This record gives sequence, structure tokens and C-alpha cells, in this order.
Amino acid sequence: MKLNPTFKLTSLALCVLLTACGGSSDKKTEPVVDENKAPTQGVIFGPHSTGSMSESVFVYFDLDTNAVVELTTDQAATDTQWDIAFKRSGVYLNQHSDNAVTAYATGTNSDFFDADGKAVAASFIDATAESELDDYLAIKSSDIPSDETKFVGDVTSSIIDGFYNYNTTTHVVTAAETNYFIVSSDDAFAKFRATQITTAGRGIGQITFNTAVQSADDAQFNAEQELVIDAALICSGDVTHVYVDFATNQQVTKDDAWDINLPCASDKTGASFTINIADDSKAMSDFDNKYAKLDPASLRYYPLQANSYSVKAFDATPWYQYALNGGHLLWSQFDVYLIKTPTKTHKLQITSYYDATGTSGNLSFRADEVTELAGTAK
Amino acid sequence: MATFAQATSDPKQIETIVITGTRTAKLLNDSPVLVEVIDGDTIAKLSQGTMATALNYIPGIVVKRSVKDGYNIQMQGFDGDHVLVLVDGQPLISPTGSSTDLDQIPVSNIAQIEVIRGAASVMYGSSAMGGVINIITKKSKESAFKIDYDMSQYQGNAIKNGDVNHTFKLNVAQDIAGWFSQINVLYIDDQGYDYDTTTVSQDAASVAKTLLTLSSNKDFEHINTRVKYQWLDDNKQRDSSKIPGQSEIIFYQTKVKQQQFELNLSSLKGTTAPWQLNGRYVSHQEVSGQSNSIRDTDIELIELNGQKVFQLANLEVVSGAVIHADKLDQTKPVDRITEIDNESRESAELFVQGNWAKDSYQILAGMRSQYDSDFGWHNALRLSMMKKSTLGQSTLQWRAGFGQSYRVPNLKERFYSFDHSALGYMVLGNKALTPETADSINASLTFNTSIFDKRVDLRSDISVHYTKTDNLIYSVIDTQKSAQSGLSIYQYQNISQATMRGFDISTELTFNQWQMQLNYSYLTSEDQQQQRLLSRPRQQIKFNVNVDIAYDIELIVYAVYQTDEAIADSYQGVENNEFTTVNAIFNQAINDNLSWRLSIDNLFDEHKNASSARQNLFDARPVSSRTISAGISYQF
Repeated sequence: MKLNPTFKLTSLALCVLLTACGGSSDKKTEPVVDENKAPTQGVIFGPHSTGSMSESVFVYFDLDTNAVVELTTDQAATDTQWDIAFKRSGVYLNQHSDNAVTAYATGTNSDFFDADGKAVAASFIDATAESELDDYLAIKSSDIPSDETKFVGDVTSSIIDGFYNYNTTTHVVTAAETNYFIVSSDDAFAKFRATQITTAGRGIGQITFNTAVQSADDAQFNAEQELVIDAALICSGDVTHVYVDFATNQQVTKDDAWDINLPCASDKTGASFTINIADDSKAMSDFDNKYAKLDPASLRYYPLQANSYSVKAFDATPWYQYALNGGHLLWSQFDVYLIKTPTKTHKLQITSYYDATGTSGNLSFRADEVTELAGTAK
Repeated sequence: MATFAQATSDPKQIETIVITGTRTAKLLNDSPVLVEVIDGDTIAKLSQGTMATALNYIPGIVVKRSVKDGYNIQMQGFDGDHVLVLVDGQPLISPTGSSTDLDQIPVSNIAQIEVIRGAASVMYGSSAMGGVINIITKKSKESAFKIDYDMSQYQGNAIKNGDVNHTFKLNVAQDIAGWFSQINVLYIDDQGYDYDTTTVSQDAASVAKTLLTLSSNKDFEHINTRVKYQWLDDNKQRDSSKIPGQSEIIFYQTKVKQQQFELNLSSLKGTTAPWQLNGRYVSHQEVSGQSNSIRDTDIELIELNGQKVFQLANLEVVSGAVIHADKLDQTKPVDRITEIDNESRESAELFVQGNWAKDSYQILAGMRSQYDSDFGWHNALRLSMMKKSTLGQSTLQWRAGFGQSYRVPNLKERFYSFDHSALGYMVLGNKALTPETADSINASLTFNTSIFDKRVDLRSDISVHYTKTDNLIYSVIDTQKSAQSGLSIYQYQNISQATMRGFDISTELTFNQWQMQLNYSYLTSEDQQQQRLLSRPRQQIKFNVNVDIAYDIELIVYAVYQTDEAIADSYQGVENNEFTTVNAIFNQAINDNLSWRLSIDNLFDEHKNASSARQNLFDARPVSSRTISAGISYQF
């Protein structure tokens, strides 16, 4: 249940007034109310434009100063000032090791979904920045979960991850034979796995792949073929990568239509324990080997990712629902997120995706440092 | 007396001349193609504003409200993209490329409306698949002045109590220095309506519409020269939602500015070899969409067409040509997206049709060839025949036709680029599209007789139709492009087939003082998976009665019953799939100069439930409101 903010403020003022009046008669018995401990919170920042659908841009925001940090995407990758960024409906957290930011959704408006998990349209549509202010102000330090694992950050990973096993006791590397990967490129799919790895120095000396191709004319993956790559031999001189093409099942050059590459180790003793796919390709893991084929018509429904991909913490707890009233509109749930930086914990409530004329991609939000006492509105 | 005439031996209608069936003037009774006619006086009583409501009176026509708060029609199972609407034989422009908004056609200065059901592409080209509606304007050369004013209120659904709508019309005709000139003005100020004022969304838009038509014609020896200019300013707006999280409102709006110039030259020299030449230019600018996602559309169209008629004994040959070009530019400025980048198409068409007429039968055969800048040549053929028989005092007219029709892909289908990559999909046009095609058979039997000692005329007809369409254009997923991009890429393709078949039965009784007509239409339409096509009622009944009462009072009552539309699986249930609307018009001529009228549209306020869409329930009823109107006309 929400308090009427007017009632709440009036009560607070009355309380202060009574305290002040009573203070003159009996200073020793009256409780002392320190207004400085009830911080003013809830100012809405924005709307900040994240560009149009065709030309979207990042807005980087520093929660310490509550100000936008003007950065290019390249600068942002190494910047430690910004904490949270927005691009259209996406919310991003800084992953820099010196400012790794994590987030936790408090679930203040979990009743916006029914028992079946279905959005209650009226709850979303009726909600406004004003009606959800009290929920925001009420969040204080005691609401920060002590379990650190509840805070999740954005994670950037390589899609070809897990093709080998490393025994931390014996320090022996072996091929993860049951970990299959599927690469989608050039109208064809290729499934591969590493079946044998011999090390050379701190890298891969020789790696054996089993590969199976499903070309545009094939209904499913063909039978596996073996391919042995001698990285120790190839990585020499000016060679920086080992390139492999699955369609022809052979080692190729950079200028050929390659599917994967293995960067050579700096000492050229072999390849590093990394496998990349091409920029115009996507891939997914198939550790259960459950895909006998991929349906090109359903491609968007497979978990295909680029070589380096990020999983955003906010994707697990979306801040909005889409098209609740039949239109193409995003409706905020007004959930309060706790955003933890290395030094502080802030609270964040996204209040709108639109500017005053209804133009999308213009985000407004409240953000304040979480304090011991609940906040009070200005 | 309102009349709704079909090919008949009724002596009262014998002088009705139609032009749409053969592109030449024919007595209605001699038209080898079944033409339905609704006279201008009746139209003028049915609607004071636009054609939208007037066409709902015509049997077999389904009128649907569009998302842009306009109106489109269906005929014989074909939607508005496949029905051609003409004014004086010239196709109207459409923002989406094919279907015409009936709410942008004024009910001003109309002589009659002629309706042909079924394929008519041989004579009229693209889009004439379900039928043709030809609105014929008056070309009288008598001076005239007429002014009309109507006020109306939406009963029970007004946005604000006391909201009044206004319609004003002016028609002035005068000879000026040998040029017979006319000015027609239509102004509509409509407040719109809302079934549930507790919600933000409004059901019908407010409208501010101005239509101005100037025309002038003069005979130069054997040539009639006619120039015409039309200006349309149409503004519609309705609230659709609040901005999420805010108190401001997002509204749907349509702003149209359209200008049209026409030049018509026609021969006055006898009837053996008349010819005519028409040229026109249309400019159409439209701003439409939700207020936070506006789409700018700019259309230009230029067309030159002509025809010549040869009369050879019993054979009449009509031949003609059309040169056509149109251009479309469509952008979404807020999103900085160009959806169609000033793309154009050009086409040239040739047609010829021979009409061999004997006393008791006629044969009509024709063909049309169209060359398009994108898909090249496309041809269509049609053969029709009519036979008259007599049974005592009664007459029978058999008509049958077999032919092809087509619709060329519009510029949106050819060049659209709708990029919703952020949501995982795109919709793309396809320049390689070819025309949608249909093969159809139509047959009808018209029976005319007099009963009760010739005091009552009875006309009854039955018509059947069967159409098989092919290469229908839909956006479908392109697996190759999807595989390359990792998105769902939809592209317009000639992919779908459909079959439509049905029949119409109509009976009309005409007494001295009153006339009534009952029409039943049945339609089955299926795609190649035997799934019924959506938005098409399987059954429709239309009934009208027109009564002349004493004191020059005329009463028109008509009712429309529709039922059994196919329901998409996406609906969670059915709110309504069967409804009846009733309209009544009372008109009295006080004297030769002054008349007044009172009408009630949608007497029982049958309309969609305001909550149906929110609850995802199917509701076939129209977006409509009970409306009471009163008006007065003065003329001399």
C-alpha cells in the first residue's frame, strides 16, 4: 500500500512542528529529529535522448555526480567514471575492473504481474512517476541484500568458450570432446568440437577438430570429418592467426572464407587457448549435441551470438513491458534497482522512455545513493 | 422517389443511361454487363458528407472502417485494395497504393453511382478485381445555386455532452463568358465519439475536412473542353494512449492535403467515332500515425488516357490507351527512417473491347495489355454475353462472363523498407513482384414482371460468382536473408492463392408510392490451406424501403445485417460476430426552393464494445454511433 505523499509530508511537518513547540517546554524528554538524516531524494533526471531507432546512441551516466559523461563507445570501454549507460531500451553496467558495477532488482512492483507471471496491463498503464515515488523513497540501506551474489553485473564472453578442460591440480589440458559448437556463416552452418589437444609451451601445439557441415542445400548436418591443425607449425614468422574453413575442412588463409581462427601465441610456439569466429558470423554452444539440424527460417530463435557478446544484468529483470495496450509502447514497471559500485550503493527507478511529445528512446529516471533512512521528496 | 435500379424492363427506368459496363453510353436495359445504379437524389438524401456512409446502402458491398479513420469497401470477397473506385471514369488516388478512402469523396453534385460486380480489369486495369464503383458527376448546363447545412450529434457516445457536428455544402453553377463553371464546397466539422470516456483512447476521430472543386467546360465547335481542380484538406485526430509514465497524451492523426488538376477533351461529333482524352495530375501529402511516430507520405501521380469508339454495323469497338506514372516518398522523421525513397513506377496500357449486339443477345470480348517499368508485360482477357427472353409479360435477362483481372504491386510492396532490427525483424519490398491475378466466372439471371394488374413492378435477380486468385502479395519470411542477417526478414512475395465464391439474391418491389428491396449475399473465401480469409462476413442481408408520403415527404429506411466472419486464432474469444444496423432518413420538400431533413444513423447504436480490444475479443460490429442529424437545403 502506498502513502499519499501529501499526507506523508504533512505528517512529517506536523511532527517537526510538534517537536519544535514541545522542545521549549521539555528539551530532555523530546526526541531529536535530525532532518539531515532524511535526505531529499527522487529528483528525476532526463529525459536523456538515446537517439532514434535507426541511429541509437549510448548515454553514459555517473551515479556519484548524477551527471551524463560524454564519451565515445571506445572511450567508454576504458572509462571508470560512468556507472550505468542507456541505449534505447537497453541498460548497461560498467564492466571495467576498476569500476565493476552490479545491479539488483528489489521487486517493489512485483504485483504488476499476476500469479501466472502475466503482466497486469492496468497496473503498468496507471503507474506514473508520482504514484511510484513513495516506493522509491522508501528504499534504504536495510533493503540492500547481504548476499552479494544477488548483485549481477554485465558479463562479456567469448561464444567459443569451453572447447578444452583444464585440470587445476595436474595443470593438464585436454579437449572437451562433448562440447560442440555451431557456427552460422555464409548461408551454411558448421558444427565442430575439439577432440584432441597437445600443448606446446603455454599454448596449443596441435588440435584435432571433428567438423560437420549443413550447407544451404542440406536438410541436416552431414557426417563428421576429422581435421588436424598443427598450430605449432603454422604459427611462425609473421603469421598471427591460424584460419580454418569447415566447408573445405582445411586450414586456409585470412583472405579465404574462414570460419574460425586461433590467435598465435606471442612466442609463436603454438596457438593461444582462444577460438574466434568471423565478424559476420554467429555461433552457439551445443554441449548436449541436441541439434541434428538448424532451420534457417527459425534462425532468430536460436541462441546465436557474435564472437564477443555481452549478457546484460538488466535483461534478466526487464524494466519495462511492451505493447500492453495494443500500441508499440514501452511501459515502465517502476521497479527500484540497487546499483552497486565499488564504493557505494545507489537506487534507480526508470520513470519514462519518452519525452514530453512521446518520442521514444528518451529516458528519465531517479537515482540517489541509498542511505540509512528513507528519503523524502523535495 | 429513391430508386435503386438494375438492368430491367421497368418503363420508369428505361431512360437510365449507364456508361461503366462498356465505357460507352448504354441504356441500362441494353448493358451487356450487369450494372447497378443508385441515383444521385437518393445518394444526396443518404449522406450529406462523404461517400463512406452512402455506399453502405448498396447491396453486396461491405463497408469497413480503416485504421486511419477512413472507410474502405469489400466486394465479392475482395478487400479495398482490389476494388476500383472511379470518379467520372478516373481512378482515385490512395496513400497506400490501392484502396481508396471513401471518406475523401464528397457527396456533392452526383448524378448517379454505377456498380459493376466482379472482374473488370480489361476495361479499367489494375485493382478492378472485386468490382468497380463509378461515381458520375452532374454535367448539367443549367445555372444553379444550392446551399446545405446539417448539424448532428452522437447520441450516447459524444466525447463531451453537447458536442455538435456541422456539415456545410455549397454548389454554384453559372455560365461565365461561355464557360459553364461550377464551384462545390464541402466543409465538415466533426467532434468524433468515444464509447468509454473513462479511458484515454477515443473510438472515432475528430474531423475537420474541406473539399473544394472548381470545374469549367466549354464547347469549341466539335470538341468539349473541361477543366477541373480539386483541393482537399483533411485533418483527423483521436487520442490513443497516454505517454507511458506521464500524463500527456499520444494521439493518432491524419493530415492530408491533396490537389488534383484535370483536363478533359471529348468529341461532340456524332456517335460514330467519338473520342475523349483525359489528363490529370494529383499531388497528395499526408502526415499520419501516432503523434510520437509520425509518417510523412508524399505521392505524385500523372496520367494521360484516351479512348476512341468505332461503330461498325452491329459491332461497337472501344479502344484506348493509358500512360501512367506515380511516385512515392515515405519517411518517419522522428526515427530518421526513410521507408520508401522517392521511388516511382511507370506503365503504359492498351485495351480494346468489341460489343456485338443483336436484338436478343449481345457478346462482349476484350483484352488489355499493360507494360510496367518493373515487371514488363501483363495481359488480361474477358468474354461476356447477355441474352434476353420474354415470358408473356415478363422478361428474363441472362448474363454471364468469364475473364481475368489483376492488381499490379503498389510502390510500398515494391520498395518498402521497414527496419525494426531492434525488435528482431524487418519488412522489405520486392521490386521483382508480378501482378496479382484472378480468373473469375460471373453469371446472373434477372427477372422483371408486373403484378397486381401492373400496379406493382417486381424485379428479382440471382447472381453467382466464382474467382480463383493467384500470386497474391503477402510479406513472408525470407529464409536466406534471415539466415544472413540473424533477423527475421519479411519480404513481399507473390505467394498466396485464394478462392472466393458466392451468390446474391435480390428482390425489388416498386409501387406507385413506395419501393422496397431485399438482398441476400453469401460468400465463401479460402486460401490455399483451406483457411477462411479474415474480415469477410459469410452472410449479408440488406433491406431498404423508400416511401413517398403526403406533403412531399419521403422516408427511407435501410438495414444491414452481417454475420459469420472468420476469426483469427490470436483472439481469446468472441464478443460479437452477428449484428444489424438500421438507418432512417426523413426528407420534406417545403417548396421548390426549400427542403429539410431529419435522419438517425445506427438507430440501435450497434457498435464495437469499447473493451473488446483490451480483452482481445473478436468483435465484428462497426465503429459507429447512433447519430441524429437535422439539415436544411435552399436552392434556386
